Amino acid sequence: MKCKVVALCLCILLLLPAFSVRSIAAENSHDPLTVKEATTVSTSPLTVDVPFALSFADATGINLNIRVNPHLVDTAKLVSPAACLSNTLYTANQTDDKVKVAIASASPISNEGVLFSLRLTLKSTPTEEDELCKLLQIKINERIISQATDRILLTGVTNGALYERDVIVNFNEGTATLNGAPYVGGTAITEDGSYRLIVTDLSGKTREINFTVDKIPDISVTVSWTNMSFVYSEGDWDPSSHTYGTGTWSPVSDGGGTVAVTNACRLTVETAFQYVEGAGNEGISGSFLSDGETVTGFVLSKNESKSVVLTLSGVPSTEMNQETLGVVTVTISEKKEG
Amino acid sequence: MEKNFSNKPKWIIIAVLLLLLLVIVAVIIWAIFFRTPDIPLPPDYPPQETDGNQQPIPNDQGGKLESPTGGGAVNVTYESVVTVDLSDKTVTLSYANPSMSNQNVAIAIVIDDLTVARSALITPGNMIKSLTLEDKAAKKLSVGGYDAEIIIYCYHPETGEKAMVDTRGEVTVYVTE
Repeated sequence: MKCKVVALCLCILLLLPAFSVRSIAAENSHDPLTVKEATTVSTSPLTVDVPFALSFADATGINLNIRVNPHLVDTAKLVSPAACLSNTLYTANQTDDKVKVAIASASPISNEGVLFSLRLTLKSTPTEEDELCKLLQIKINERIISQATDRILLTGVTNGALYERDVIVNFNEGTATLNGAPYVGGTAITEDGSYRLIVTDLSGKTREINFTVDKIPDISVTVSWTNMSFVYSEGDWDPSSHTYGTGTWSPVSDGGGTVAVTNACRLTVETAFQYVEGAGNEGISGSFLSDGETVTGFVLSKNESKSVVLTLSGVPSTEMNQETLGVVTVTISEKKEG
Repeated sequence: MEKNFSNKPKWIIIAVLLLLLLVIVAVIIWAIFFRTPDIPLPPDYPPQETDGNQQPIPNDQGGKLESPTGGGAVNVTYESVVTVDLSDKTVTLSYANPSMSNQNVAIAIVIDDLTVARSALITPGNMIKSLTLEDKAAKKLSVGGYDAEIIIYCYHPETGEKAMVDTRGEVTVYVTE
């Protein structure tokens, strides 16, 4: 089972602008720190190796300060050191949720690519929203190359995400508010709505996450119609039978009789069109054309729009003037899978 | 003679009862087969008052859908779940008439021929989250789920004339005590 650690990459990537602005790139012209995709080492207990790539030149001492998420990470240790570390002294010490990696060398060393991997034993299977660890500080030759002030690690939520289920958020330190009200980590957020979670760590720094819970998705469609007035023209006079031939109905204005439906929601919707005759006008029927073909409805994907044209047939029973012939009904339903 | 006098009242009673029975059967047949369904009959020109339960839609985007003269356009947005509380006779739902619509709307929640709730006018930019349960529905509904429809009627905002296009949507009504 491949363990998803996308959030790990995200949390590291959050810090990349700091690396590129600070002196790794300026000093050594090397790539900044990157994290490779984690690989699963074992499933019982669930253990992953997270490669850390750090490029530098002529360094005798490297120190990394990493914070792991105590909700997810049980233990961490350094494995798979790069060849440049073979004649060095390196250690990785975990104290609670901090892992300090220290590398000391008698002679200058250089590296391109993966420097080591951090083997993490996990308490549970992480999802895309779970952040496993965060790099806080990089020192090369006692010079701080990069330092992050955001120490807050989250599980259970991603900024900007839409959830069709209850959401439970945990964070490694500090306090939080949810839409301004105190929020206790681990509490289920069950109501539909837009949420702003602000976590404040012990030093006063904050981290804001915005997300939406929408367990009951809205049906949203736009229905528009043109002028629905029609005029009846009698057919040709037949002198032998003293009657008019079959007449025709036509809209009073160009483009009249058109109904359009646009799907404005994220669900796929089915539409059905029906013409219902008004009382006393049962002899006049209606049907719907789309691209010259008779249709009764459509399936519309998100943002898709289609239109139909109402055509009438039948002879009015009496002379009419501004009377209601009938009603067009547009029926909407969510298209079910399968 | 005595015999005629004692039988006549009995026959009258029997005849009256038979007549009554016929009337009852006729009423039952009419009720089952010929009675006009109790579906909402929207007036062509609705009451001018807006629904007292309508409230502004938060974060409404604004803008206006275009339609030619004599036409109209509405955005129909609703949740497919409606709940009915029999104890306080309220219907909880979510229906929005965004400000992009150029029509006022009135809605009705209907189960088969039974009107569960109906609204007065909902003007563009407003939404409705609760309605009053109709008395007839309060007597007929029981705890459980029902397949229902939401019917949306559109009215010109200035003339009040009802549009020739109605919209219907499928909803599920959950009834609780």
